[in-house]
Amino acid sequence: MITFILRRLLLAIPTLLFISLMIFLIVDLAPGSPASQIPLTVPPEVKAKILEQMGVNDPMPVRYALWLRQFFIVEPAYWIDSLFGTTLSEGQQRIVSWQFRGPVMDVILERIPQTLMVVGSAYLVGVLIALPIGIYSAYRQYSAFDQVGSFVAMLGFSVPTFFTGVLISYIFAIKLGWFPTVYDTTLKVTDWESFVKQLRQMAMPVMVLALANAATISRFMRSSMLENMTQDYVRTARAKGLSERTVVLKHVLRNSLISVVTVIAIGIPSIFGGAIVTENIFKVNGIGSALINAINVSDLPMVQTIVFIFAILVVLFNLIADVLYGLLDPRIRYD
Amino acid sequence: MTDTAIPKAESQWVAVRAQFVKHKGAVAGVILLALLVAFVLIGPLIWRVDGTFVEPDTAKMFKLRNQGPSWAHPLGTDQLGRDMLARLMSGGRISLSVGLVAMMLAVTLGTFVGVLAGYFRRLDGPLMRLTDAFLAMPLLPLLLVLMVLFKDQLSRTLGVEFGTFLLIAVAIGATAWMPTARIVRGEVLSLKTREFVLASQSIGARSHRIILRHLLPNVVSPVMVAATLCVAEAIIIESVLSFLGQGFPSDFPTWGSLLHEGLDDLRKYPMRVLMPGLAISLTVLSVNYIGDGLRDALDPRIRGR
Repeated sequence: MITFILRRLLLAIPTLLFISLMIFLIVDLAPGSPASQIPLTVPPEVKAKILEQMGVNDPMPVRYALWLRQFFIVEPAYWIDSLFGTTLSEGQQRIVSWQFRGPVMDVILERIPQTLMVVGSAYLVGVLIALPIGIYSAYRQYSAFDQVGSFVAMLGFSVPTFFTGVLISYIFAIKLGWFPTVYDTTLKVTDWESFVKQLRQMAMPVMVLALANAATISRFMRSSMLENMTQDYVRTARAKGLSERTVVLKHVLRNSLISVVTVIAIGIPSIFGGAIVTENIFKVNGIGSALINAINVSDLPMVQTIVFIFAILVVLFNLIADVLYGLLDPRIRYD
Repeated sequence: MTDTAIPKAESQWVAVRAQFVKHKGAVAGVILLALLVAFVLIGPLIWRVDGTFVEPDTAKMFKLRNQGPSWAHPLGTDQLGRDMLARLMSGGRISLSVGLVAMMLAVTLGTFVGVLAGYFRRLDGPLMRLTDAFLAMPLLPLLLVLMVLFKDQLSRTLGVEFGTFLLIAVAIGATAWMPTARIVRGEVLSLKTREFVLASQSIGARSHRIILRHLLPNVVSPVMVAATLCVAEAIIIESVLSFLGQGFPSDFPTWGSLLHEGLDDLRKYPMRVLMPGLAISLTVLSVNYIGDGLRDALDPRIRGR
């Protein structure tokens, strides 16, 4: 298992290098030199520093290497410094955002909690809704419940989140006035009242994302259950007189969950993509809205960094899914 | 000899159609999609109002703004007094054609990569690593970046409408080919070992002939299903881009950009958001149902049960 994980980690390196090269090239090959994209409001000395850090006059491979160095060496060095008080990173230029004129990472670290809070709970709610629905749909295949479930799931992945988001915010925030339209990031949960307030402002974005996630996961759960339901071991379990409850919830469910767990793991990074839209609609001050803002004011370092972080998340969770699959399913042996 | 009549041999496609018609959702999807396509294609021939026309006289224009439904404007007008019905029609035209063009690009590219990877063992490793790398890319953020960086340049050289159209369709097509490539590779890998391919190889047929004559016709069914789902995906991505303000400019409405424009007046005129949103959702829903039905109809294990 360890050798498998190590091998996968090594394989992830070329993938990440390839993606980083693509991200770098897209921005680098864009019309207009990067220097001309720096807004005029940036003071000259900062501009000179930024240009030096990007190595404007160097050939493309050198600039790419410089960018990688900043991302993988300088930024972690700063992080280690702030943790242990060392001075690894002294005098190194960090990746600087053009709009905030501060390090990109500081902004991102500030934004991540909001995203994790909203997106994370949405995913959790989605999974919690999806599993029982999927299990029951499979157990009563072609029943009315299953039919309705299929239809709702089809709606869930056909209706884009930006439309469900707008619709839900129109109905619940504007017409009924149950929830606030704007997410208040400054809100600190200190007592019961502020906790309720936090719940209320999270309700709509969580609803939208949970619906979209639940649609896919419930379908996977259903088909995985169906696949296992006809297996011989299920007949054996029934034949030896186990209760229906034990057969379905212990034998079938456990085996069906193996593939569903990996689907859930693979889905985690993609929800950050979905969060871009949802954060935009509900004005959640998270990493997705940071990306959109950065794109609108063409803050290229910020854009590159956030996109690359998304890519790392995708690769990481694919790896986790693979490892989980191996751990959960004893039939799979990698060595 | 027995007297039982031997049933007339049916071609595969007759059986496929018979199975497809049994899928109620798919049939409903076909009807709905046909209606939507008729709305955007034939609609403008009947409703001859220019959706981009803005009354040049400011006083008149102000009177025309934000109207409710009337005989002159069955779906009302927008914040510049443009006719919403005409805008929905031309918006749908662009949205649907972006979906189609992007799908064709993605399917062509995906089939090409898939066949190469499946047929030539030496290319399999590198091509599949490339597919994996593309699958690991955060596509929506990358597409947004592509839009911002290249839109102005292409609009200047190729014209706003064509430039943006080309950029969006190519960008979506170039990032949506991976599922098709994987499916085709899998099919080709298993087809390659079958006797008819061996027979063809042993009479000396060349690779390109085997691929074109024997392999491609046999991967048509799975590719068709992937293609339908790809159209739905492309329409959604285009509308997300427009929704985030990075798609077509407002002179060239798409369903996504109409929704984006309507957001500012959501409180007062929710219909302007509802209509394009419904149009997108219904299109994607019907395409997804068609894909579902096709998958069942083309699967010989399900067909005829």
